[in-house]
Amino acid sequence: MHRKSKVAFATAICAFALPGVAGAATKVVSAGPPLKKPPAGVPKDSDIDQFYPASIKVHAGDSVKFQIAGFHTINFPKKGAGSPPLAVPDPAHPVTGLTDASGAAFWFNGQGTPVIPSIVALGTGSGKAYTGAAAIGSGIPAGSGPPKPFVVKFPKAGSFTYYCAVHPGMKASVSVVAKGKAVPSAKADAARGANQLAQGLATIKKLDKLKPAATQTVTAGPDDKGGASLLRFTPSSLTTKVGTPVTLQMSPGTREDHTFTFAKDVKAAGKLAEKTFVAPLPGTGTAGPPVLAFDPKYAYPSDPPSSPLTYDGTNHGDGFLNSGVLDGDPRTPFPQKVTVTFPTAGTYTFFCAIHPFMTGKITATS
Amino acid sequence: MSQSVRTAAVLAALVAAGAAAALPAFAPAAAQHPSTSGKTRTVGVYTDYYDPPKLTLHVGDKVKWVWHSSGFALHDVYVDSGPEDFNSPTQAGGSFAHRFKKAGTFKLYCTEHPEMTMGVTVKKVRK
Repeated sequence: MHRKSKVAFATAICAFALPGVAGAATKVVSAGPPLKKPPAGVPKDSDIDQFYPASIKVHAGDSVKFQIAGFHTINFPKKGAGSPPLAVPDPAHPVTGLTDASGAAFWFNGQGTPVIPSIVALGTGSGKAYTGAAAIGSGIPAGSGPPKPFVVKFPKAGSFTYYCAVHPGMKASVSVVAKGKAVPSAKADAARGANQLAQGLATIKKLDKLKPAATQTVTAGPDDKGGASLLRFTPSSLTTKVGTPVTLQMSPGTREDHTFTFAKDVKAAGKLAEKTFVAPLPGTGTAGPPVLAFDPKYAYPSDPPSSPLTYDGTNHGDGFLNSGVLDGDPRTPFPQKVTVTFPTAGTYTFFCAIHPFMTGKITATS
Repeated sequence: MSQSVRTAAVLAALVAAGAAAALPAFAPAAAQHPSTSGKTRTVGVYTDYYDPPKLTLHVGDKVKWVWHSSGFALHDVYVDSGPEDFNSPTQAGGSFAHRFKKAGTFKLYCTEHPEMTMGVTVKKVRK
C-alpha cells in the first residue's frame, strides 16, 4: 500500500496528541493509510485515498501536523472555495509543435498546456496559521528524503474542509473550537482513525473479489467512492469481437485519475511516459520557482473529444491511442470513460500513463 | 567457482549496473582480489523500475539506490522476501544505501508501485 510511515498505526496512535508549548496542543493526521505496507490478505496494488482520522476537533491556538503517507497534498482553500484543480490549461503556454509518430500534428496544438497551480505544486510552506482568509497548501511531495510533515496552526474557531488536490473527492475537516470547550482525547481520535482504517481495508478485500461489472468493459480499479482503490485494470485481459465497441471506464466516484493509453510496447512506452508526465515548463525555474505542467501528449486525449475511437494497432503511426486523463467526478472537465472499437483482429495492449505499472490487453477476434 | 568465472560474473554485474565507465580501473582490482568485499553498486530508482533490475553481489557489498523519477511519485525499496529485512524511506528524491550482511536471494519491491521489483543475489565471500 502506498505509504507507510515507518511507525505502525498503533505507534502513530500514541503520537496523535503531542504536548505543545504554552498549552497549545498538536494533533496528528495522516494523509493516506498510516501503514508501512498492506497487512496480510490485503493486495499490494491497493491504496486508500483518505485522511486519518477524517475529522478532527482542536482548540483555537492548537496545531495539526499532517503526515504525508502517499502521493497526496493538503490544500486548505480560501473560505467558501473548494479544492484547487490539479491542472488548468494555461492559454499563455499553448501546446506547440507536438506531432505523432507519422509526423501529423496532434489536435491539441494551440490548446493550453495543463499547468499545476502553484498552490498545489509548490504550496505555501509548513507552519503557517490558517483562518480561511487565504489558501494554504503543502505542495506535492518532492525533494530528497521522506515527505516532510505539513503543520498548520488554527488561531480562530471555525469549521474547515481541506482537500488532496491530486485525488478528487479526498477531503476531510478540522473543527476549531474555543478554549475550554471539550475536544476528543488523543485516544478517542486514534480509535476513530484505527476504525476508519479497518473499514477501508475490509472494503479493499471486497473490491479485490469483485467480478468485472459488465461485458465489453474494462474498469480501472474497481475502486469505491470512499477512496478504497485497486491500481489495476479489471479484467486485465478482455476478449471481444471485431467491431464491437468496448467501454474503458473509471469506477464511479473514484478518487484516482487514470489514462487508457494504447501502445505496441507498454513497458517501453510506460517508462517514457513517466519520464515526461510532469515536468517544469520550459523557461521556468531558473529565475523563480518552476511551473510544473503535465505532458499534453498524455493529459489530452490523442484524438479530438467526441470523435469515435477505433484502434487497429497503427494509430498515429506507432499504435498510439490515448484516452487522456479520466477521473470519477462528472463535475471536472475530465471524462469518466471512452469507447473504442477494434476493426481488425489482434491483441492490443494499453497502460496508464499516470501509473505505468497498470497494464492490460484486449484481444479482438473475427 | 573458478576465479575467471567469478571475475566474469563481477564484470557482468558491473556492466548491468551501468558502471561501464568505471570498468577499466575496477576490473584489475577485482581480478586480483576476488574475495574483497565492500564494493558499492549503484541502482537507479526510476518512475516504475529499478535499473538494473537484477544484481549479483557478495556479502559485505553495499548497494546505493539513487532516485531519478520525474517527481510525480513516491518510491521506496522494501524487502518482499530475503534473509534480512530492511527498507528505505518512501520518498520522491534522494538516495538510500544498504550493506548486505547475509547471503541469499532477495526480492525487493516498491510498496508504492507493486509491479516495480528487483532481485538481488548475495553470494558468500570466497575465502
